[in-house]
Amino acid sequence: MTLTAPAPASAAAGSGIAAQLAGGSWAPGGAGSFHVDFAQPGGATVRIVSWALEYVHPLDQWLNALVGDTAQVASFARTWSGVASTLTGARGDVAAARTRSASQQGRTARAIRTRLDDLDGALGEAADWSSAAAAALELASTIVTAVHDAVVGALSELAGLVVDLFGFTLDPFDKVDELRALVHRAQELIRIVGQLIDRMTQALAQLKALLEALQPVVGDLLERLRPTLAAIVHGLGGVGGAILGSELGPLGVLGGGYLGTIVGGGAADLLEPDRRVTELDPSILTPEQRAAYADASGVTELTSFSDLVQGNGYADHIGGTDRSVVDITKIVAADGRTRYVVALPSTQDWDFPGLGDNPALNDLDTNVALVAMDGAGRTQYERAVMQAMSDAGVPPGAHVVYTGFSQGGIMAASIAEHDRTYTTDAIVTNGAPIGTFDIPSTTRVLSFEHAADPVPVLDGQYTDTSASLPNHTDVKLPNPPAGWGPLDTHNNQNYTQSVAGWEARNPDAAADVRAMVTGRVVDRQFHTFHE
Amino acid sequence: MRIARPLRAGIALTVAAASLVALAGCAPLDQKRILADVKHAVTAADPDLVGVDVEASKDGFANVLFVGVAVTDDTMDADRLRPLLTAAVDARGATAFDHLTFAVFTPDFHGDLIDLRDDAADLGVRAPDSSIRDDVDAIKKTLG
Repeated sequence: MTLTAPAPASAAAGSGIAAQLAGGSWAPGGAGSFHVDFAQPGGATVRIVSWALEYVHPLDQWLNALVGDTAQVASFARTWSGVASTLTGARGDVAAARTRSASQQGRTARAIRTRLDDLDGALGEAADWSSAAAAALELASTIVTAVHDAVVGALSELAGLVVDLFGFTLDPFDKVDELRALVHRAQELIRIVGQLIDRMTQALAQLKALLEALQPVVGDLLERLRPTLAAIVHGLGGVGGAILGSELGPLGVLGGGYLGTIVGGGAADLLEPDRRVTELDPSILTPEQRAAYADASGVTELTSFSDLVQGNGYADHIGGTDRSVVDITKIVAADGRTRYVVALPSTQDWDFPGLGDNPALNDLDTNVALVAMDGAGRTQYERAVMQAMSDAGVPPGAHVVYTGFSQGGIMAASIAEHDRTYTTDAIVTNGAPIGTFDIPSTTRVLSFEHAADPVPVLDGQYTDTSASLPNHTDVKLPNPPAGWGPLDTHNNQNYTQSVAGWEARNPDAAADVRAMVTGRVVDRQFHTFHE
Repeated sequence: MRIARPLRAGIALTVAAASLVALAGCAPLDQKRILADVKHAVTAADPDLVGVDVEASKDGFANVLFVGVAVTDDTMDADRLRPLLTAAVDARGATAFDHLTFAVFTPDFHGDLIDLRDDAADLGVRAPDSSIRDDVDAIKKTLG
C-alpha cells in the first residue's frame, strides 16, 4: 500500500489527509499486528529487566530512543484531543451568537451573521482535522506501547535463558545445549524485534508525513480566519458602542456607534495577519516623498536630538498615507558603540469610520490598539517593524535606539516594553503619550512635549516622571512661536525647531543619551509595509 | 440614577474628543481645487520651469502644502525663488494649509535636490535641510 501526502495546502487536501489519518491506513494491520507474545520465563527475570531499565542509565533512554517514548506520543494525542474539543466548543459559541443575532435587523447585523457562518464552516473543518490527528496519534501511541512491551518481553525471555544457563547442574554438557538454545533464541528475538521496529518506523514516518502535510492546511485556515475575526470584532465594536450610547438618546446611538467602531478597529488591528515587509523602492515615490527621501539619504552624521526629531518627519513624509516607512540608520556613536537608530512613523492615516482606510499601517486603529489595548497583543505595525529590522540585518542583541513622533513615539515605548530581541538602549520621543508603558530601568527615556500639546496627555498621565524614574527625562518645551493651538503644538516640524532651541540652551542635558544617538552614519535603510 | 449622570457625561466627552480628533485629521475643504490653483500660480510665475508638482500631506494635526519644481540647470537663487514662493502662498486657498514645503529638483522629479538653505536664509524663511519648511503665514508675512 502506498500513502502519499498531498503537497498543496487546500481545504480539499485537508479533508483527504484527515480521512487517511483517521482511517489508520498509514499503519497496515492496525495496532494488533504490532503485538507479540513472548514466553514469560518467570517473574524474577521480568523484575531484573525492569530494574535494569530503571536504574542502569542510559538503558531506559536507549529503549525510548529505539522504540519511541510512549508517554510523549500519548501526550501529543491528548493535546490534539484538547484542540478538537476546544474547536467544537468554539463552534457551539458561534452557533449561540448566530441564534442571538437572528433577531437583529440591518446591514451590520446581516454582515455579522454572514461572517459567523464563515467562521462556523472554518471551525468545523479545523475540528475535523484535529479529531483525525488525535485519533491517529492515539493509534500511534498504542503501537509504540505494543512495540515497547515486545522489546521488554524479548529482553525478559533472554534474561530467563541466561539465568538458566548459569544455573546449577551436575551435567556440564547440558550447558552446551542451553547455550545453543540461547544463541538460537537470541537470533530469533533480534529478527522479530528488528522487524517490529522497522514496521513501526515506517508507519510513524507515514504518519509524520501526513501530519506535516496538514500543517500548511491548518496555517492557511488560520490566515483565512484572522481577517474574519478582525471584521467581526470591528463590527461588534460599533454595535456595542451604539448600545452603550443609546443611554444618551438617538445622538448617543450615533456617537457611541462611531466611537465603538473606532475601538473595534483597534481590537481588529491586533488580529490582522502579518504584513509583507520590503526594502523601499524610491522609484515609486511621489515628488514630495522623493524630496524627503533625498533629504534623509543626504544625512551623513547625526549631531543632535533635533536631527533625530527631523528624522521622524522624514519617515512620515516618505511614507505618507500610501505606506508605512521605517528608517533604520546604523551609526558609529559618540560613545564608541555601533548602534541602530530606528525612526518610526506617526499617524498618517486617520481612518475614521466613513473616511476609508489608506494603505499605511500607522493609522488610527493602531493608535487605539497601542494606547488602549497594551498587553493584549502586538499590533500589525509593531510586528512589521520587527520584521523590517530583521530584514535590514540588525543582529539579535544589537544596541538600538527607537525614535518617533506621536504614534511613532508610542510604538517606540511599546517596543521598549515588550521586545527582548534587541538591546534597547534608549527611546527618544516627541509629542507622544508614553506615561503608561512599563519601560525597563535599563532603557533611557527622553521625551519632549510642547507645553500645550494635547496628545502627550491623552493617556491621562500629567506627571513629570523624571523625579520618580531615574531612567526618564521628561522635557517640557515652550510652545512654538506659531501659537499654542493643537495644529502648531502637535507638529513635528515645530518640534524640530523647539528641540534645537532647547539643546542650544542646555548643551549638557541628557548627555548620556546624546552620546548614544550622535555619530557618523554608516548605513541607512528604509523598509516599507502596507495593509 | 446619580451614577448614570457622570457615566453619560463621560461618554459624551469621549465622543466629543473623538470627534475633535477626527476633525483635526480632516483635510482643508476643497483641497483639490486649492492644489490646482497653487500649481497654476507657480507655473505662471516662472515659464522656464520644467515641471511643477503640488501635493497635500499631514504633519501631526497640521496640513502641509508641498510644492516641488523641476529646473534643467542649477540656476536657482533667492531672486528666482522669491516669486515662486510668493505665488505659492498667495494662491487662492493656500492659507488653509498650515505649513509649506518647497523643494527644487534638477533636472526632473527623479533627479537631485538643490540645497536651498543659503537662498532661504537670504529671504528670511526656514530651510532646515535642502527644502524650505516653514509656516504658510510666516512666509506670507516675510515675503510681503
